[in-house]
Amino acid sequence: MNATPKNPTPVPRAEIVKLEGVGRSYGAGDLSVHALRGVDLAVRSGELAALAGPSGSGKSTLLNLVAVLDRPTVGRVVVDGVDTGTLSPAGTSRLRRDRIGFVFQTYNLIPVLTAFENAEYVLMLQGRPAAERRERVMAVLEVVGLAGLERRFPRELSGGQQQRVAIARAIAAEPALVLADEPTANLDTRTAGALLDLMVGLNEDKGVTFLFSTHDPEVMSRARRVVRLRDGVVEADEVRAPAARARS
Amino acid sequence: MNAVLKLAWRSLWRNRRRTLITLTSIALGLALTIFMASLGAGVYRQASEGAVRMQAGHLVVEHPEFRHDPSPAHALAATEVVAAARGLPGVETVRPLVVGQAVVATAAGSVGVGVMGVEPEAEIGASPFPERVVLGRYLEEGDVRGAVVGTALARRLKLEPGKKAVLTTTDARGEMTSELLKVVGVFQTGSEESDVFLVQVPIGLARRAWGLPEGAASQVGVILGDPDDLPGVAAALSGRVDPGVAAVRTWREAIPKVAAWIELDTRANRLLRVFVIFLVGSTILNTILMSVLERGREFAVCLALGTPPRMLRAQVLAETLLLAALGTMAGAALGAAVSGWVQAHGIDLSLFLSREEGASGVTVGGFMISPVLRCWLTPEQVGAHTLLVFGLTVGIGLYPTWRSTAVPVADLLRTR
Ligand SMILES: Nc1ncnc2c1ncn2[C@@H]1O[C@H](COP(=O)(O)OP(=O)(O)O)[C@@H](O)[C@H]1O
Ligand SMILES: [Mg+2]
Repeated sequence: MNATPKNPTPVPRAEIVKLEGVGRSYGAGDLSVHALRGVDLAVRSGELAALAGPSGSGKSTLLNLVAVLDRPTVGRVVVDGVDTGTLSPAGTSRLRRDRIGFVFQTYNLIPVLTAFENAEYVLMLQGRPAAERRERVMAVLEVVGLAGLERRFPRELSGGQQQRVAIARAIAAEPALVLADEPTANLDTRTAGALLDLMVGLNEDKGVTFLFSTHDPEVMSRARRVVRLRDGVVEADEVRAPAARARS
Repeated sequence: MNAVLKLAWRSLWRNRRRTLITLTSIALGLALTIFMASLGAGVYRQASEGAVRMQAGHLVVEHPEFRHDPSPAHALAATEVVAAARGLPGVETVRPLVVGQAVVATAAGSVGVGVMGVEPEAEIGASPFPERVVLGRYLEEGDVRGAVVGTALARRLKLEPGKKAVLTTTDARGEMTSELLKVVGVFQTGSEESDVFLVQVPIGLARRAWGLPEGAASQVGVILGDPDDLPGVAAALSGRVDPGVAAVRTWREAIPKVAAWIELDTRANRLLRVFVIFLVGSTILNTILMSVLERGREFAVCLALGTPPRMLRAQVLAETLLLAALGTMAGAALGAAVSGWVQAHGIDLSLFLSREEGASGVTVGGFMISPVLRCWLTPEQVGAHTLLVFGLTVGIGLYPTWRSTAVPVADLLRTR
């Protein structure tokens, strides 16, 4: 796609996500619900793309398909060059573990693990040595602004802090892509803005690729690319200069 | 593995109250079943020991026909049998007995009784009668015409130590014989059969009455130091006795009433234990399943992050194993401690019995057992029940374990 002079984003490269004629419907016959209908979409490495649309427009369905938590009724979903339809269950787990970071709207964290351990979780799944895990987790917790809170349990953290831990966990293993389903929906405006700053910063400074959903116009305005969904169809796909970093 | 255990351990203590309740129910259930089993074993042991010692013994050597026709004609030459039995390891006492029916008469009347001719010195410590003498004394070596009778019989025939009675019977050849008895003591066992109908006399007098030669006995009773040695001693003794001449029987065959009562009660006890374990099992299923179902969203998050399903299942299984291990350890310790205490100190039931009953004890199938109940605890009971409850807990945990990853991940993660 294109870069604007103001924000020297790294030139988008490989297609990390590619949806070809993807449809997902629930139920059969007259009662069937078409959550997605004939969606074509590509997300390239280095992008920060927002999936926008009202509630029920199919945002979560699309993200779940990309994470291979769900299968399309028709069409093909290719992630990191792999046709997800061909993946075995073990291959699916591995793809999620090694290539995808995931942030949800709420209750992201494992309640019995501390902030440190939550951020470490995916690295632990990957079987990385303790010293490396420690180094990386301390670094990402620093990046997300949680240095000093490593030992806190999720219930001892605010909503915004919990989402930061979730982002730390999502990026600790340096995945090809971070998916986030309405990561700011449960936060107040200020906290949401700060979280978005973090995501934009990670995207610009570290080249982390984000595909996140939102129905908040203010959040949308911070993304370089906005893909609008309505009734399961891509209504618009706009690339433009994002608003400046706010309230940071 | 470490991570799985850590997650399992912490998840277990996340809902502390529920975990403690589950642990408590596993522990109490196990302790209760161990206690029930050991109390049952203790009571059966007391009952069988009591009965065994009032009768011939743990093992009885007798004429093969004696069981069907206990007449003095079916006596055996017992000297060799007695010697053979005395030489066996595990044998405490060997009692040659001459038993038969007779009529005892005094001026006050006459009563049909069972007569037991004994060697007095062999009885002491082996049978309960010497300790149950309430008036006078027990038989002694050298008593020729001495006799001890039960309290009820003494009352009916107005007998007391020093008084005389006449014993009349039919000997092995069908001749009427009479012997003069001199009562030396009165016993009270609490067992009606003994107190009303039993007369003990020196074995020599009995032999005379039934016209049996020196060394003859209707039964040779063998009392063991440890009743658990029964099968071994029975086998050894059978090997030394000519089966054409004498049969070796265990007390189960000799006292079928008590054996049947024990059999029946053992079944009831087992059924009760199964019921307790069933109750514990349903509590476990409930709590583990609930703890899994309420974490559906959490498991969905883990799966979405790339956790292999088998790792989640391992975590849930580890939680169950931890619960089972902690619960059964506590239960085994508690059950063993309570049973051990009751074995050492006993539970005195006489407080709950009427005075007369309490004075002597409780009767089972006509045999008296002590009102102080004692457990009989064995490592096998503890081990078997612990394994059973542990296995049951883990077995029950398999379904929730499977359920943990059979969750609709996409739906659980959908932003609502
Ligand atoms: N399991 C399901 N069964 C039936 N309909 C569903 C199911 N999941 C989602 N839907 C429907 O699919 C549509 C898209 O849902 P979703 O992707 O969650 O939208 P969004 O995330 O944009 O709010 C909605 O109409 C929703 O009701
Ligand atoms: Mg949604």
